[in-house]
Amino acid sequence: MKVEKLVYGIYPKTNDLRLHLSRWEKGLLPDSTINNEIIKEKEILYERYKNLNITYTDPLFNWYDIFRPIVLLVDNMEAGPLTRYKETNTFYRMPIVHEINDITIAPEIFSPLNENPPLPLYVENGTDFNAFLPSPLSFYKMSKVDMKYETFEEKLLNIYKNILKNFKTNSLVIYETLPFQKDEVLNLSQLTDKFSVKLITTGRIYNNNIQGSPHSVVCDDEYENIEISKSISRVPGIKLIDGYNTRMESIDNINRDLEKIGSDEVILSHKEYLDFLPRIIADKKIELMSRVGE
Amino acid sequence: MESKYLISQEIGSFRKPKYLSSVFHRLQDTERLEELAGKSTIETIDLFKQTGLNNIGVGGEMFRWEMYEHQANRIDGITFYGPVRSFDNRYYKKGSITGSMERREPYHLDELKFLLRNNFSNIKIPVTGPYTMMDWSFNEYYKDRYETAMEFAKLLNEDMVELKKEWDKKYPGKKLEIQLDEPATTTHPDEMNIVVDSLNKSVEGIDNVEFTIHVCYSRDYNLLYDVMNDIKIDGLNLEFANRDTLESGIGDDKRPGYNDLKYFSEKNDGKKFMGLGVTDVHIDYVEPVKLIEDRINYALKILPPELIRLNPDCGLRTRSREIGYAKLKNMDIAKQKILKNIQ
Repeated sequence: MKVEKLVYGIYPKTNDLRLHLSRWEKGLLPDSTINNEIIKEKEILYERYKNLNITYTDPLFNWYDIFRPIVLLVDNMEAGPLTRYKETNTFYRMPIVHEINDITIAPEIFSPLNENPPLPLYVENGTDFNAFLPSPLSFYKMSKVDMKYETFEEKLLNIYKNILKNFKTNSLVIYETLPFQKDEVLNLSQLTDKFSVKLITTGRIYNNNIQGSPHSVVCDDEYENIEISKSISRVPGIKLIDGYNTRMESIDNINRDLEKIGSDEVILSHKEYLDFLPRIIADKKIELMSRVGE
Repeated sequence: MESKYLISQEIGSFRKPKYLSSVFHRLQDTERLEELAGKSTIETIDLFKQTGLNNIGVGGEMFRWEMYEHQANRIDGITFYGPVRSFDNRYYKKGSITGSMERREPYHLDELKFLLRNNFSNIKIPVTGPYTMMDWSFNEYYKDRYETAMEFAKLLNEDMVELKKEWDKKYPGKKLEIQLDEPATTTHPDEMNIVVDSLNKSVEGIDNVEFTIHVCYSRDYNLLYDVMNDIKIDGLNLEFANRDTLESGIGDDKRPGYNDLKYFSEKNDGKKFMGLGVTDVHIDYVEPVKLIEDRINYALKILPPELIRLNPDCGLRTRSREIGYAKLKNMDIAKQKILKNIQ
């Protein structure tokens, strides 16, 4: 069985980078310097991922939450009040969406932002690079929006396509951070036509929740989820690494769970992005992931 | 004579003076830090007195850096692997429970002894509640979240028994006030049974103490109101101003932050008081006296004055000492104006 290991979303920062950001927030470091520090740290991590043979998205060290840079890039969106992120002790700024026009700032080049470290969104680009973007459905549910979901989804996915074009990439990871309700539909057709999409889901998924054909649906470890993932995507995916606990997983147990899927090819990933863990533990978890399937 | 109505109180923390905050970590566990914390406690209490506060808490928590870390640092069985992000570039130390937990040293006894040595009696000791300690820790050791919360409750109970013993030496027969800080209370709606059981375990067997619970930034206080009569507490000190408007008026539309007091009143067994957050600790804007009056008067349409206390939403350490002072002062002026009508 071929096991592809995928790390996505915001990754915990090093202490050095935290201190640099703290100085930047106090106005003691210019935007250009903090940008260089962020790029330096990202490149170190890219190198580590490559050595561990891990598929990755950008570690998003310059994203203060998974919506913020998108909100700041798009006309008529603003970052609203600090709001609890799911059932955690971590907070995000709730997006307030009046309308979705175009992006007004080039996302691929250095550019200072208010209330968030500077762009670019990601450091790498090109066809082999995986972009990371939040699912329109969770985005909608976690925001205050003045429009119907279907309109929001269509307009936001257009924005996403522009971003992907700017980074010249063919593939991306979409993160559905909230569980689906039975009757909810995420329609990714306009993306999956052109891009290879890995969709990370949360909780139980139901038939018809997902439209379009993602390359992979990476889901929580439940029988029904795996069956849906196998039926609608080319490569099934499963989240077996806990992003909410410092306890280390057993490689034997992971290998056993992967075997149960009964597929020649599978994607292994983590529940929740790893920014909820101390850096040292996140590093150990990705090292452990790299040894799975050996 | 002090009125029994609209008693005003601090919630807990107040901004530390620079001479203390700048050396706090470097001087940890030294006599020098104790001296500086004592000095700033006295200064902060003087400031509170000038604002007219009835209850001075513990003088702004000058002996503590952070509510979770302070207790977790005193417990064997908790390992710190590194900081975890709270928001933006703000971090807190989140411990991992890696073994059986035991209290290595008292959480707040030194602070209480200091206050008693200086003859303060109008105090309220904030302690971090067992559910929040559990929710903010990684658990690698205990069976589940229920068992973990109950273990934290056992340790907190031991600590509060010691606090009460110390208090009784100085003020025998007088009630001690302890506030259980539980910001995580309603974050997992299906775990309210854990909240109830762990809080009750914490206060078990401790008599002649007025226990309150402080919760803030909840998405749904009704979850708490639904179970509050099952918790052995005397009152709730909650954040409201943050979810309110800055417009004046005492209609439902002008005071959306306080609307759910109606549900509290409906559910209340008639004895629990409400510590009403009337000033927002996350904005520098100093709410005018009139706005605070409107907030109190709106609450008075729902609750009798003896069941209302007044406080900031949460600890004021998020604001400068000057702004913290101005907010507390306006709270007192508003209170005095309303008291004239009540009496």
